[in-house]
Amino acid sequence: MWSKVMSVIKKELRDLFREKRTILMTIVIPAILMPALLIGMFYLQTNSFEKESIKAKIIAIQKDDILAKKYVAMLKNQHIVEEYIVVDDIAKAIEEDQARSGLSIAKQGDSINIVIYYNISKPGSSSTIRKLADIIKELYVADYLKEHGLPPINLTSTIQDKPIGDPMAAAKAMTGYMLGLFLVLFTTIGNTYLGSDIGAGEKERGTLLPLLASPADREAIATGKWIALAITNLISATALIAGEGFAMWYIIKESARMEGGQQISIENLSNIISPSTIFILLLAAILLALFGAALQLIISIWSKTIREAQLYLSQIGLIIFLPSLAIIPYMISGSTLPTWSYSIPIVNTMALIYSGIMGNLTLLNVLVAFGANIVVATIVIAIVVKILDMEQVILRT
Amino acid sequence: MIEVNGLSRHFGKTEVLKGITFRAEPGKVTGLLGPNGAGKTTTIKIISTILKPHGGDVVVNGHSIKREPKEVRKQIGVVFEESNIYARLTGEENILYFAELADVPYDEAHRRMEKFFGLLGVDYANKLAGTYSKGMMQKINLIRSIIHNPPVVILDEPTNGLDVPSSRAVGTFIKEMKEEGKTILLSTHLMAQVEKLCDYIYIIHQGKIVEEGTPDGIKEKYGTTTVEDAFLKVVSTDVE
Repeated sequence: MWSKVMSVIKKELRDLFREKRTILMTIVIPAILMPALLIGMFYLQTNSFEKESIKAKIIAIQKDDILAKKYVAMLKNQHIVEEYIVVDDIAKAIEEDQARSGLSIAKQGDSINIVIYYNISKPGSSSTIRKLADIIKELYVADYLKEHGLPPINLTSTIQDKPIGDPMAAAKAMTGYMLGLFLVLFTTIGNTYLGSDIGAGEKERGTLLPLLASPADREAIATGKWIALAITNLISATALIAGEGFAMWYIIKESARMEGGQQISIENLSNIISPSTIFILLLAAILLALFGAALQLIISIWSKTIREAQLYLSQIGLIIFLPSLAIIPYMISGSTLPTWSYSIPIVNTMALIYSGIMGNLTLLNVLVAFGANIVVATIVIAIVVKILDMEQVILRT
Repeated sequence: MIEVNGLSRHFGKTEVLKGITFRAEPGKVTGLLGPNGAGKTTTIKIISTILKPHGGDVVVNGHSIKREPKEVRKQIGVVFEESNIYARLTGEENILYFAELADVPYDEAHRRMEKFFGLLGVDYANKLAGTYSKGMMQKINLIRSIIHNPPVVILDEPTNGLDVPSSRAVGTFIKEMKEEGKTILLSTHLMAQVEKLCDYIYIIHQGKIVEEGTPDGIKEKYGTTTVEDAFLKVVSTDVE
């Protein structure tokens, strides 16, 4: 039987990879497009963060507001405010986009009342002006003490961070979450074209009947097609891991540069993705490739046309992804995953990747995950063999 | 040898085959004729183990399609009316793939393939099959079906849509198979081809075998000069 399985695998891979779309779907998109998406998301987030930084670009103040002018000018001298403009109406200046935010200061007895103005439609503008108002409050207190002959307040007081635990934990949790998510999405929904072609494509093109009337066993045909699909899924998964690995390294490097010019080398990435983690990732990819291929094959064989198979695969891919949502809160919070998450295909792949990266994966978890997926894949292949003998299915055209 | 015994089959409430019985012998071309919807293709799909019978049985070289479908598949080579070849493989790859599935050694498969390329006039089988003409595709389809040298060859409308040179090449191919002593079951609409190629014919109409005999015997029985005229006389009456 295995020589025939090999013949089927060889033929299917040759057939699939002679289609240009296969190269695009299997290698180009996971290796280039998905990492580009991740890097793009990073820059989007960074951009929002930068907007929220304390450094304000242009602050509007009212022309008769002496206190505001005094303190904003001090902030400008300290390079906290880039520029300020004096206007008749702060609100109007912000509406007309002359300034991102503004403030006015009124004396109330010994205290001051600061009114801040910002454009609610622009994210970050409120937090920036609020922080400036806090600094002005401190400066006012210092001035007040000086005027009343009291000892000056030490404005250089600082807050020092003392983080407890793994400093890379958040990055690891995010990496595990994103890698798992992309891997699962890509191997279940991403390769629907190939999955649908391998069964429904045979029906649509009229090549299934001669194959079923050939001396090859149904088991050899089903197993060969399953393994061929699993290989293409695995190629996709490996390309995705490589691409996402690069994206992670780039993001960490860029984050470090933005936060203080620290250089991050490729070695630093091994804090997050160590060789053992890469091994776990590949194991998880194999697991996912086998399960995804079984799922794609059964739907493809069942469907009348490639179009119908693609429709089912995209919908079912989303449905089977739903259980994994249950573990996302654990992943985002950096918690240890519950044991049940290793016994459900798809969920367990995400769990393996996450735990592998977080460094709390146990051998039992790995065994449970592999056992569960092999059981499910075996059942699916047995069903495919049955289906290939069901005339109402193979003659559905 | 194909022995069809009391074969019946229905699709829903429609009875397509009503207990047909016939046999096809080695070294002979047996024609299965009938109008559209008579049950020819259903019969061929049952013999090929694609469909299951609801009554009766078919024995192919001593193997029952019910009990030993895998053995039956080793004995037969089939060209289905609606079958096709893999467009993203070359003609050669299509043929050699089926040879591998039948455990035919590479050298033997290559030798047989080259022989049939010569017989059918195939000269550019190393190009992707998607670029072939319909005639070329059908020639590859024929060679693919018999690359494992099966003793029984089943052909369902093998010349459908082919031009005259390609049809003639298929005729030559069938004669060659016959010379090799194979059992050939041929279903076709082309009566001229039937007269030229078939040693014995069965006419199936409304799910029953309504006539059988040699082409000459049938012409004589109905007092016609062609099998086509005799065929029209046979199928013009309803079967009870």
